[in-house]
Formats: sequence, C-alpha cells, structure tokens
Amino acid sequence: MSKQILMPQYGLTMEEGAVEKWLVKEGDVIKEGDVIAEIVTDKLTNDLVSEVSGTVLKLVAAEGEDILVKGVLAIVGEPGEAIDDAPVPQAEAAPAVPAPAAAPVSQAAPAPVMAPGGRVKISPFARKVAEKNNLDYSALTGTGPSGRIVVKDVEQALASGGVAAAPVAIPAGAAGVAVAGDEVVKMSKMRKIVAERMSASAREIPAVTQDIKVDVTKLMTLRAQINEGREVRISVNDFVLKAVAKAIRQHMDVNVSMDASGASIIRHQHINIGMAVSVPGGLMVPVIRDADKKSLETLAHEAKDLAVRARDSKLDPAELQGSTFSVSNLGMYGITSFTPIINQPNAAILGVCTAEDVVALDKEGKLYNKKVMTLSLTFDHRLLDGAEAADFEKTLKTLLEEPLQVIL
Amino acid sequence: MSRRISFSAATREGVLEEMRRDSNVMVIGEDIAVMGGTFALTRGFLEEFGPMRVRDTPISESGFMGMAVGMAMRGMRPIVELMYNDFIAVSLDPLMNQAAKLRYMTGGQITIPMVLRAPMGAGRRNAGQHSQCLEALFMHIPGLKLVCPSTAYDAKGLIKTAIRDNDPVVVLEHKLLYAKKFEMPPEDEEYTIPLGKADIKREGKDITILTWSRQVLFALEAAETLQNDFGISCEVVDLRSLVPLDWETVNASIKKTHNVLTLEEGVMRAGVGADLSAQITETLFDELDSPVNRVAGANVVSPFSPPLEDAVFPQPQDVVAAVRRQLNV
Repeated sequence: MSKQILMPQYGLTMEEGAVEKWLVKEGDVIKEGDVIAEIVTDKLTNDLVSEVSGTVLKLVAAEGEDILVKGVLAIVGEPGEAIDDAPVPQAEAAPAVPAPAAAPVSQAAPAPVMAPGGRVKISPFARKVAEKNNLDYSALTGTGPSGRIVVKDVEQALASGGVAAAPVAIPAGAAGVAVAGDEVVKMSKMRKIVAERMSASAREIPAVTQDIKVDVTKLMTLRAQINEGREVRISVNDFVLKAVAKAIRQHMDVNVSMDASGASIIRHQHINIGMAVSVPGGLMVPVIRDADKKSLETLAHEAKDLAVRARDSKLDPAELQGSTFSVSNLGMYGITSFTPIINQPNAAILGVCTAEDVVALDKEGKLYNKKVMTLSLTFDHRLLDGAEAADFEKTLKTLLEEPLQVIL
Repeated sequence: MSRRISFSAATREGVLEEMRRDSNVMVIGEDIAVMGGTFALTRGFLEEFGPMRVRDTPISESGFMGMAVGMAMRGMRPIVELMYNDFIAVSLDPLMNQAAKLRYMTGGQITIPMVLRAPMGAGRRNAGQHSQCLEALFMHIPGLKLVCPSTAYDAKGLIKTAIRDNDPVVVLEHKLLYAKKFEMPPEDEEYTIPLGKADIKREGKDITILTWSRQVLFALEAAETLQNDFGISCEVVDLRSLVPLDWETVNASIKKTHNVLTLEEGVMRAGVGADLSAQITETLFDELDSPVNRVAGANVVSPFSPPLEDAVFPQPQDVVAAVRRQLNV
C-alpha cells in the first residue's frame, strides 16, 4: 500500500509551506528518518524528515508550490506499485488544527478565512444568506472571531455587487502602477508577513516615540577593557539588551500586552526580549527569554547565536514567539534617531542609534569629548503613558551611563 | 397614579390577594407566622388569617414539604417557603418524587396545586451553603414548573398565577432583588402574568441576551454600556418562567438578531444556559451568526470572601466583555 507524505505543521500558526528543494527523486529508495526535502514556511527553512520507508513513487508537490498543511507532498510505496492517479485531494479530512490564537502571547498572523484543509469558516446564518443570494463566499474575508465570515461580511459583499471585497481595500491613489521598464516582483512570503504585521501595528496602535540621549563614554571604555583579549566580543547592543532587561525589571509596566478582548492588560512576569535581526529579504525578531536573569556573557552568546541562525533560516518557530519587549539597533548604520514600529503584542520597542562624538564643557569650562547615543522608545499609548515610558528611559540612561551597574 | 414598591412587598401583595380570594390558600414554613418571614414577606398574615392558614414549623424542611404535598392532594393550595433554596437538598423527595409525579401516575385523578417559594443567589456573603442558584436542578425534574421573576411587577403577577396553577410551581426569588423598588400599577388594579411568557425588557437588533431573575438587571446595565460605548444593540429577553419556556419569543428574537448569549448566575456546568444553547443549536442552527455563548457562574462553591464572591458570578462588565468577544467588536 502506498503512503502519502504530508506537509507538516511547524509551529501553531503555520498554514502552508512549499518544498524549496527536493533532496530525493522519483524511484529513490528512502527510509524512515531520511531528510527528503527542504520546506520553506513563513520565515523558516526546515528539513522534511520522512516518517515512512519505501520507494518514492511520485513527487506530487512541485518545488516552490504552496501546499496547505497536511497537503500531499509525495507518495511512497513498493516499486512498480500502482498509485491512484486521480487528483490527490489536498488536505482532505485534515485533522483539526488549533485555531490561530488571538491571545497576544502568540504572535499569530492575521487569521485566515481559509482554514487549513480548505474549509471556509463561515457562520451558518451567513452561509444561508450567501447561498440564497448565489454569492460565492469562499473569497470573502471574515471579520468575526477567528476570522469567521459573519453575515455582515456577506451583506457587505452583496451591497458591493456580489464582488468579494478585499478586507482592507487599498485606495486607488495609494497603489503603485508599473510603467515600461519597471520590474514587478512577487512579494516573498516573508515580505508579505512583514508587510501585514507592520500595517496591523501601525493601524491599531497609537504609537508615541520619545528619544533620550545617553552618555556612553564610560560604556565604550568599559567595553574595550572587557573585550581585550576576548575571542567573542561583547557588543554595545549586548550592553543595551542587558540594560533594557534590568530596566524593565524595575518598570514592569512596560512589560505588558493587551489581551484579545481589548479590555484587559496582561502583565507579563517573564522578560523576553525580541531582537530585531535584518535578514536577506526581510526581518526577524528572535527572542531572548528571561533576559534579566542572564549574565552579560550568556546574553551576548545567545544574541549572536540567534542572529546567525536567523540569517541562515535555521531558527525554530518557537524561538520567534513570546517576546514581551523588542529592541531594534540601527546604530551600526550611523542612524541618529528613528521611530521603530511596535512588534505586536509588545507594548514598546527600543530603537538603538549610533554613538556620536560630542564636544562638551566640563565643570571648569574646558572642552572635552564625550560619546552620546540616542535611544528612541516607541510605545503603545493605550497601555503606557508618556511619564511611565520616560521613567523607564531614565532608568535605562542611568544604567548605561554607569555601565558597571549593567554588569552587576 | 403609579407607585414604587419593593420586590418583596409586591410578592407579599400577590400572596395576600390570593389568600383573601381563596380560603384554600395557606402559607407554611420556618419563622413565617410569628416573625413574619426573614424578608418580612408574611408580616401581618398570622393576625389576618390565623394559625390554621399561616403555619410556623420547626426546622424540618422534609416534614413540612411532605405535609404540603399531602394538603395539596386534599385540595388545599399550600405555599411552602424555604428559607434558602439551598435547603431543597433535605426536602427534595416529597417535591421530586411525589408532587412532581402524582398527577401523571394517577392518570390525572390527583393534582398538586402547591407553590414552593425560595430565595436564591449570591452577593450577600452567605457562603457556600446559602448562595446557590439552583434553577437547573428544578428544571431537570419533569412535572415541576419554574418561575424566576426579575421585577416587582413580574413577581406579583407570577406568584398569583403560580398559586392558581393546579400543578406544583417553584418560584425562585433572588435575595438581592427583595429590597429593590420598581414602578407598579395601583394596588387595586388586579393583574396576573401567565406562566411561559417571556418579556422583552429591552429591544435590540444585534444580539439576544436570554436571562432571568437578578441577571436581567445586569444585562440591562451591560446593554446600556454596549449601546453607548460600542454601538451594539442588545435585546434583553427576560424569560421569567423557565418551565414552561416561551420558545416563541426566544425563536423570534434570535431570528431577528442571529446572535445569542445566555446569562445566569448559577454555575455554568450543566446549567440552564447549556440546555438553552443545545435547544437553540438544534433548531435554529441556520439562523446563527455566532456560536451560542454562555455567561454563568464559575464551577465552584460560592466563596465567603467578598472579592472572591463577586468574581465568581457574572457582573455587568463580564457581559460587556462576552458580547464584544462574540461579535468581535
């Protein structure tokens, strides 16, 4: 009997993926545990490990083709065994997949209408109204809980002439138009996700950015001392991460999220810092858990490891989830101030800027040189007020200006 | 001219009028005669009707419940008062196995025209044994009718109908409603309210809230907030009588709003909302734009601690949050 190899689900929020590269071809003999393909999902590349042994009879999924979770990728069996050539039902009777969590603890992508398995989530009443009006509801976007299509969505579609309205219509003026010579490139999965998350954050959050200048002269000296003779160097960013974790512990009111109802605030007890890492074609935010409990050295190691693996697409999905605060560093590019976008469901994100040489006057009126770095904190004004955010920034400044406090 | 009287005064009026109207009506229970009842509901009754029709009993719920069933079998119309509905536990057999069943088992030769009145509910820091809402328990027994009024007007109209009914009727009155005052018609303007007739306490178009007793007031409070702050229009259906149930009103309301939430103070597990939800899903599936949602008490013993007690049963803000979740607003 031939067996099907299905698209696995890496992480709760994965809905579809593609075979980036087949590592076997039809006719190959494989055994359980063999890596047979590379699967690319939203943000990650994973090895597909076969759970069956046999001869590869058919590679159903083409490289690059999007396949829903539990969709058929390949068929394995005895050599020469006849396989059903009928169109393979994609994800038929797919097991229930946990609904995309609305709770802010997970960084779920916007809930899709098409649940894994091809079922359209629609309320019974909405379906009845749609069918009565001969409306194809499969392309509608639901606005009910968990993305369910409710009657309002059907009524809106009917009102707009039965055309399935896009959920967030782009005003005609805002869309780009390619003219001769322009190149039109399909967005990668990661680009799309980054775009969606950024839009959602900018749309939903009343964000405020407050800059503070920090004298990092002592920090730079201390860092140089520490790094002397060290193989793995401690970066300014590592100091900032450590200081942020310490400052949060003193200001737990920044370590919060809004719950799904919008009526409660979740006060997180763990300080998990998301670290924005630029990767080819996009951005990832791996998470350093319990950052306040880790030594500067451990933290530096972990940050480096996460950044390297992020660039190599080798992160585990779990490593991208559960942040309670994020840090984005553009200092190495010479940026002097910016307004980072909040990584939902965090309440704030810290933008770290470059350290600049500044001429200052000492007490005797003599000129001296100091290094000043700007920190740009963007926060969600629904959850935090300016004074609370400023307090947090002040603590951060104090820590970084007396950097031994960061290490202690 | 309209007048404002309390829920307990209205219930008292209803009982009083029926006792004057029919000499077979009598009241029996603990501390109801000399003392006039825990909530002063029968004050003055002993003087007016004498000890034969206003009977104080020892602490012997099982005994006087049995007496009442016997009296009802012989043509009297006893109104039994339990000090708390929780005490049904020691007196259930006469009600459940005799009163509820005899009419059926004698082929209609015997009827049991009795009323059981009992205060229920939390919010008075009465702890685990004096705070329950046991509607679901009574509803589960075929042969019993169950009424749970939310206003003085309904309390009076329903107790009168319950007394005149030829079958056993349980009337559960929320303790925290007794002192609340409501508009009433003049004292001499007689009226009754039929059993099995719900009352739409607030009309709306977006969601139906099915509730009764004290939670009706919470639902109305929540509906006001939902309307003002979120533009959600709630229809608050006061079921008033849980057995028989006014399915016609429930049905019409759901066909209008397509979203339903059940709201009760009693514990959620195997509660009234569970049964309503099942009935609605079975018969009105195609009318639903969201799953039937239940807001109910937590599945725990009612705590004595005031903050804990308040957290255990639904408050208006819980209703607001539940409706917003259900409609994703």
